[in-house]
Amino acid sequence: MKVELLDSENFTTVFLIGEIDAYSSINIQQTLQNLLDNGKKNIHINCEQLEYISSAGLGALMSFVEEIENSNGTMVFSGLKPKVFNVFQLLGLDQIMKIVDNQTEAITFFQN
Amino acid sequence: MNNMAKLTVNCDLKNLGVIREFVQEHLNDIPLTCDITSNQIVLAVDEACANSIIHGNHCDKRKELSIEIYHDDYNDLHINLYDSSPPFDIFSYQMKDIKEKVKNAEKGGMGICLIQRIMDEITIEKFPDFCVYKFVKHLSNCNNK
Repeated sequence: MKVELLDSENFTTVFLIGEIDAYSSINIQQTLQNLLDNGKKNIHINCEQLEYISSAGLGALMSFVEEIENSNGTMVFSGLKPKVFNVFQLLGLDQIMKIVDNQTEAITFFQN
Repeated sequence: MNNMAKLTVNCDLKNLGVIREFVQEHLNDIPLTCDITSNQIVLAVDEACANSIIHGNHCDKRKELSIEIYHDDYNDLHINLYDSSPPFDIFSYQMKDIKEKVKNAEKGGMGICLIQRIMDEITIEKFPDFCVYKFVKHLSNCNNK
């Protein structure tokens, strides 16, 4: 599993690459904590290359949602493959998280 | 009973990838398994094993888990997880409201919920020194690979 970052004018894109499970989810947690510690509050989670996520990975992501929203920021997900989106659905997270189809829509969201 | 396979690994979270690959390889041989259902099955096994490794065996690499998988003539997939740690009551667990979990930044407790929602049948057989978590997934309704 790999995490890559790209800073834009008013948001940071986190590229999740590969498979996220209970072993690798700590990487996401550390990455998001570092972003928040550095004042980044608008976060785009690009999932185009995410092949798999377990509850540990989702837990690591959702544990930051409240903190981000409390600082008037937003976490937006894009590019979820159907099998990954289905995991969000199984837990009802698709009703809570901000999810858009692709990177272009995510960029438009933050530009507006 | 078709294509029974068995994998034994140490209780190390690094082995979750090995377990997923093992389950996926077996599913690749079943023509009626759709992509989403296939991922759900891999996920449920991953969650069960992660729960056992972390909570049951405290990541003690000297301990082992075994996973047995086969499908039967009724197109049911059977997965048995052999675990020597004390059995976890998978039936009575109820997850809190997901909105509350997000609001309270709670990370855990979703894995068992996923297993409950994915698997069609769950039983636990208890023996003096180990237990077997038995999961069944009916594959007959899935043909959109």
